[in-house]
Amino acid sequence: MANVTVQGFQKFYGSLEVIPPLDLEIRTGEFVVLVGPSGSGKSTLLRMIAGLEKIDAGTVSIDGEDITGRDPGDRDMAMVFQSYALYPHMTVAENMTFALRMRGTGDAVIRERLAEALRMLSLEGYENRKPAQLSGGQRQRVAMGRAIVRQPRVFLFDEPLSNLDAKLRARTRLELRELHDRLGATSIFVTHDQIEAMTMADRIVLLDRGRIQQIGSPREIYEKPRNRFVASFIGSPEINLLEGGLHVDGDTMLFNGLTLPGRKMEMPTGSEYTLGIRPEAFDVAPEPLAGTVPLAIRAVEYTGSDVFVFGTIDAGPLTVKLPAEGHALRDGIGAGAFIHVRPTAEGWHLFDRSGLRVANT
Amino acid sequence: MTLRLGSRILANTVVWGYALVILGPTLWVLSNAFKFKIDIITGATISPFTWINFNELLFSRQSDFLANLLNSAVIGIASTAIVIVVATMAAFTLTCLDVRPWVRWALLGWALLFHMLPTLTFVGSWYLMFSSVGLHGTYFAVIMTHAVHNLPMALFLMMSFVGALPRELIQAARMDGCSYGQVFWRIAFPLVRGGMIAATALTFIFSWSDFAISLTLTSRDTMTVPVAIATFAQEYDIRYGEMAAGTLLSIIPALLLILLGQNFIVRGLLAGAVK
Repeated sequence: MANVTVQGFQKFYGSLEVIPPLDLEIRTGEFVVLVGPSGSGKSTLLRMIAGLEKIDAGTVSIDGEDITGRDPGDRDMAMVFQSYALYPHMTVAENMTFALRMRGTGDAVIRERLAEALRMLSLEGYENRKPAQLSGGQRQRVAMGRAIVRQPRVFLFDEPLSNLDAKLRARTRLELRELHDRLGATSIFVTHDQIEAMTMADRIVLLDRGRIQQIGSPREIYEKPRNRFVASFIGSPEINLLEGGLHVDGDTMLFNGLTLPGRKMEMPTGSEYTLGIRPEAFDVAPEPLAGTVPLAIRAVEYTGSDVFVFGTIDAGPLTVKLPAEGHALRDGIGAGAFIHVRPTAEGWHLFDRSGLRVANT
Repeated sequence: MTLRLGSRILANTVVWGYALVILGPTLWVLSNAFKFKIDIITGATISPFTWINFNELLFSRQSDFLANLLNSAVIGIASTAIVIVVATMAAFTLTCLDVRPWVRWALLGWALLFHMLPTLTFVGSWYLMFSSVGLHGTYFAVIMTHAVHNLPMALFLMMSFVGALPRELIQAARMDGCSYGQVFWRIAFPLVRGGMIAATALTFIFSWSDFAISLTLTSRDTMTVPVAIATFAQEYDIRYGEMAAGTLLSIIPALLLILLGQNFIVRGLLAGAVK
C-alpha cells in the first residue's frame, strides 16, 4: 500500500512562483510519469515529494500519513538519479547496501536482498567493482539496485534513462517497467521524453510552467488532448496546427476551406480557432476526392516503416504520415508533386482562442 | 615548425632562467653550509668540505636548534590540523547546505580581504592582545594566529574540492538516510581526501616558513626555525655557516611534503578550471 497524495504544493524561487498550488494523487502500484519540457517543474515536483527541495506550502502524504516535515531518509522512498549518483569510493555491493547499513538492518537480511537484487539486475560477479569500472548501462542498473534493495514504498525516478544510448534506453525502459510490475511498487518517473512517457506510464501527468496540463492514460492524452499544449507536446512528428475561422455550410463544417468530416457541432462560427490534426489522421489520394484539398509537397522523409510528407495546403503547412509499405502513392510522391488530403472523421481537434479543446467528433 | 622551435627555445629559456633565479641563491646558501667561515667571507667557490656548521648548530651550547625544530613541528602540525578540520567542515557547510549566497560571499570576501593584507599589519595588535592576557610566547598564541592566518587559503582550496562533489551524490546519501553529519563523514570526507592532502601540504609549509608572526609572538622557549636562523645574525658576528646549515635542515620537511602533496596541489589549484 502506498497512496501518495500531494496537496496544495507550492514552490517559489525568490518571488518567482515555479510551482503554483498543485494537487496530485498517485495510487498504489501505479506507474505515473511526470512529463513536460525543461523548466516545467517536473523535477522540482519530484524533489519536493522526495524531501530534497523545500516546500513553501502544501503537504505530501503516503497512505494518509503526513510526511511533509520528514527527512528525505525517513520517507521510505528510494530515488534513482539522472547521473546515477553512485558513491565512487564504494563497491557495487557497498553502494547497493548503503541505505540498509545506515538503517542498521541485519547482515543476513542485507546479504539476502543484495543477492536477490544482483540476480534481478544481472549484476552478479560485479559486486566488488567500483562504479568507475562499470559501463553506463551497468551503473544505471546499480543505481536501480540501490533503490530496489531498500524495498521502499515509493520509487522515484529522475530521468534515469537519459544518459543511455538509444538502443539501451529502449531495452531498459522495458526492463524497468517489468521490474515495477514484479515488485508491485508505486513509481513516480520524471522524463522530458514523450516516448518514455507514452510507453511506460499507467498515467501521464503533463506539466508546463509548474501547472498540470492534463492527467490521463497515454491513450487519453494522445487521443483527447485537453488543450493545444498537450496536443503539440505529445506525438512525433508534432500535430499539425492550423489557425483560422470556422463556418458551417449546410451540414458541412469548414475550416479555412478544409472540410471537417464527422458529426456536426453546435459551435459559434467565424471566430478564431486552431485546428489540430495528427500527421497520421489523413485520407490521402493521388486524385481529388470529395472534401480533399491539394497538398503541394515540399519534402519527403523516408524512415523505413513510414514516409513523412511535408507540404502546404491553402490553410497552411502540413505534415502527413503514410505507411511506407503497400501504399499506392509511395512512388508518385516527391518534392514539387501534389497529393490530395482530407482529415479522417475521428482525427481532428478544435481548440479555442485560449487553447482549450472545444470539440472533435 | 620554425615558429614552434622558436617558441620552445623561448619557453625553455624563460623556465630555466626562472629556475636559475630561484635555485642560484639557494644552492649558494646550501653550499655555504659545508664551508668554513673564512671561505664564506672570502667568497671562495671551491673550498674544503666540513661538517663544523652542523656540529655548531645542533650540539653547541649557543644553539637550541633541535628545540627550535621541535617548536616548528608542534606549531606547524597543530595549526595545520586546526585549519584543515575547520576549512573542510566550513567548505562542506558553505557548498552543500542551504546557506544563503550572500552569507557565503560575505564570508569568502572577508577571508580573501584578510589574506590580502600584509601579515605585519596584524602582528602588532596580536602582540598586544596576547601580552595583555599573559599568553605571549606560548604555543597557544602562535598556533592560533597561524591557524587564523592560513585558514582563508585552505578554505578557498577546500571549497573548490567540496564544490566539485556532485550535488546529486549528497542528495542520494540524504535519500539513503544520512543526516548531514553522516553525509560529511561517509561521503564527502572520503572523496575530498586528495584536496585535504593538498591543503595540508600548503598550510603546513606556510606555517613552517612563517617569520613575521613567529618573530613577534614566540619567546626563547617557543622559538621556531626561521626566527632561530635569523638570530644567527648578531651585532658583531654574523654566523653565515650556521645560518646556511639551519636553512638546509629546515628545507627538508617542507620538501618532503611538497613531493608528497605535489600531485594533489596541482590538481587542487586547477580544480574546476576544466570540466
